[in-house]
Amino acid sequence: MKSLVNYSFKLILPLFFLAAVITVDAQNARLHFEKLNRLETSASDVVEVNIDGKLLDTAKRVLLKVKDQDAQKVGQAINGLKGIYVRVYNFENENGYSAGDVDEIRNQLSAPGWEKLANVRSKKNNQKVDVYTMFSGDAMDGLAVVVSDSKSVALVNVIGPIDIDLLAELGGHLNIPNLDIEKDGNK
Amino acid sequence: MSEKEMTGNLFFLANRQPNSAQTAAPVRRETILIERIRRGEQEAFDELYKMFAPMVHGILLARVRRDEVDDLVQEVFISAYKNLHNLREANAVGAWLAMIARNRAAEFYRSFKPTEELSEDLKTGKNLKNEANEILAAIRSLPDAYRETLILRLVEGLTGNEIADQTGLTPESVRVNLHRGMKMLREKLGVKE
Amino acid sequence: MNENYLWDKTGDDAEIEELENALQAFRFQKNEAPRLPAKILPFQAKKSWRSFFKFGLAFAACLLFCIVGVKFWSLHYSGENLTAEIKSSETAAQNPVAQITAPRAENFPAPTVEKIKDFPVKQIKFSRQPLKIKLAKAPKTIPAVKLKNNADDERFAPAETVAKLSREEKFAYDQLLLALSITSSKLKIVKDKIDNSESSKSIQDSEK
Repeated sequence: MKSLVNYSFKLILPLFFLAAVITVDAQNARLHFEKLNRLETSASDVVEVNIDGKLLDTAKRVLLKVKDQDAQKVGQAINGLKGIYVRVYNFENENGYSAGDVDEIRNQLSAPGWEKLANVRSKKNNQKVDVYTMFSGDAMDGLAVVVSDSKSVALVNVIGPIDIDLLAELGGHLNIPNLDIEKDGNK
Repeated sequence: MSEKEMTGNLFFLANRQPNSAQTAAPVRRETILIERIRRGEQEAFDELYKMFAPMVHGILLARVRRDEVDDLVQEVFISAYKNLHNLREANAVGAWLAMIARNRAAEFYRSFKPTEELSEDLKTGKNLKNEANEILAAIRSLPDAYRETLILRLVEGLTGNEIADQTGLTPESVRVNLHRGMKMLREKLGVKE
Repeated sequence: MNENYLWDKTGDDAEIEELENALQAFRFQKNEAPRLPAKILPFQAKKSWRSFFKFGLAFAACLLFCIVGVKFWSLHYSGENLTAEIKSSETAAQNPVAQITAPRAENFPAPTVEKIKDFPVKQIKFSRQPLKIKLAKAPKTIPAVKLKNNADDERFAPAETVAKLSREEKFAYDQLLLALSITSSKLKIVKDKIDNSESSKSIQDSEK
C-alpha cells in the first residue's frame, strides 16, 4: 500500500509540475496592455477585443457548426488557441500618441522567451511592424504583433498555437461583421 | 373547521416551511442593473451611472486635478463596462467602481500644487472661490481614507450610510473617518486662520 | 461639532454647513452616461403572417382530426349496425338539407348542411366498415427565414447557421472573427512586405 502511494506520487507530482510549467509558459506569453488605456482619451477610434476562457470556447464551438469552408479552415487554425487580445487605436492627427507608450509594449517583447519573427520598418507613414513568437520546444505558446504608424497603433497578442500562414492567407476572405467603432459619448 | 383552526393550521404549515426563503437577502437594485447591463442595455447603464457617478467623482476629486476629473469619471465607467466579466459579486459593484476609480487616478496622477491652483483664482479675484480651493486643498492633504470620505460627505453631499453602502466600507469605518477627518481638517483650517 | 449632522445631516451645524456651501462648486454635475459600445444582436424576427398561418393551419388540422376521431369512435364502437337512410325527394334540390336518422340521433344535434350546389341525394347505407379518413395535404414547408440585422444582412454568416445561434454564441463568434480579421490583416502586411522585398531582390538578381 505504501509503495503504491509512493509510486502514485512519483507519477502524479511530475504531471502537476508539467501542467504548472505549461500554464506558466502560457501566462508568460500574455502582454499587458493596461498602460495603453491612456491612448483612449486622444484616439478617435478604439477597438478592443479580449477573447479567452469560456467566450473563446463558445466561439470555437460555433465555428465548428458554421458550414463555410473558410470558417472550417479558421477553426483548424485556432484549434489550440487559449486567448486572443487585440487593441487598435486610430488618431485623427499625426503623432496623436506618445511613441514611448508603444515602445513599452515592445520592451515586454524583449523578455526571455520571445523571438522576433519579422520586423518591418517603412519611412512612409513612419510604419513599424514587429511580429514575435514564443515557443516551448516545438509547441507555440504565443504570438505578438505590434503595428504602429503616424496615425494608428495596433496590437495583437495570441496565447497558444495558431497557424500564422493560414491566418495571413485568410486576411479579408471571411465574412467579417462590420462593427461600428466605439465612440466615447463625451468627446 | 373554524376560522381560528384554519388560521392556526396555516401558521403551523408556514412554520414548517424551510427558512431559506424567509432569510434570503432581498435582491439589490445594482444586481438587477448589472444583469441588464451585461445584456447591453443602455438604460440600465445610465441608471448605474446616475447611482454611482457622484461617488466616483468624489474619489477622483480626492486624487487628481479638477480639470481631469470629469473625463476620468467617464473613463472609469467605460472601463467598468469593459471589465464587467471580472465583477464577481454584483452587490459589491460600488466598491468595485471605487477600486477602478482609485486605480485610474493612480495612473493619471499628476502632482498638483495647491498654490498653483490658488494663484489662478487669485488672479480672478474671487474670494469665495479662493476659500473653496483652500478648503479642497486642505482636504486633499489629509490621509487617503479621511479625504475620500470627507469629500464624499462635504462635496458630493452623501450621508454616512450612503458612503458606506456605495464604497463597501462599514458604517463604523465611515463614522470614524468622518470624525477624525473633520478634526484634522479643522486643525488645518484653524492653523491657517 | 454636531456628529449627527456630520453623519446624516440631522440637526444643525453652522461650521459644516459653511464648508458644504463653499465646496458645492466642486460637486458632480449630472451629465449623460457614456454610450455603450455597439453590439450586434440577433435579429428579432417579426411575427409574420406566414408563421401565424402555419400555426393556424396546424391547429385547424389537429382540431379536425380530433373531431373526426371522436366521430369515428362514436360510430365505430357503438355496438350496433348503423344504417342511415337518406331520403331522396324531389324537394332535395330545393331543400338540400339531408335528414339523417340513426338509432341514436336523439343524442346528437342534427347536422346542418349549407347548400353548396344542387345534387341528387342518394340512398346510402352505412355498415361497420373502417372509416377512411382522407388527411388534408400537409402544408408546404416554409423555408427558414434568413435572420438579418436591421441594417445589413451581409454582416452575418450563412443564415442556416445564424438562425440556430444564441445571443452569446453570436457575440462570441463575432468577436472572434473581428479579432482574427485584425490579426490576419496585420500579418498580411508583413507577408506582403516580405513577398515584395523578395520579388524586388529576384528582379535585381536577374538584372545582374
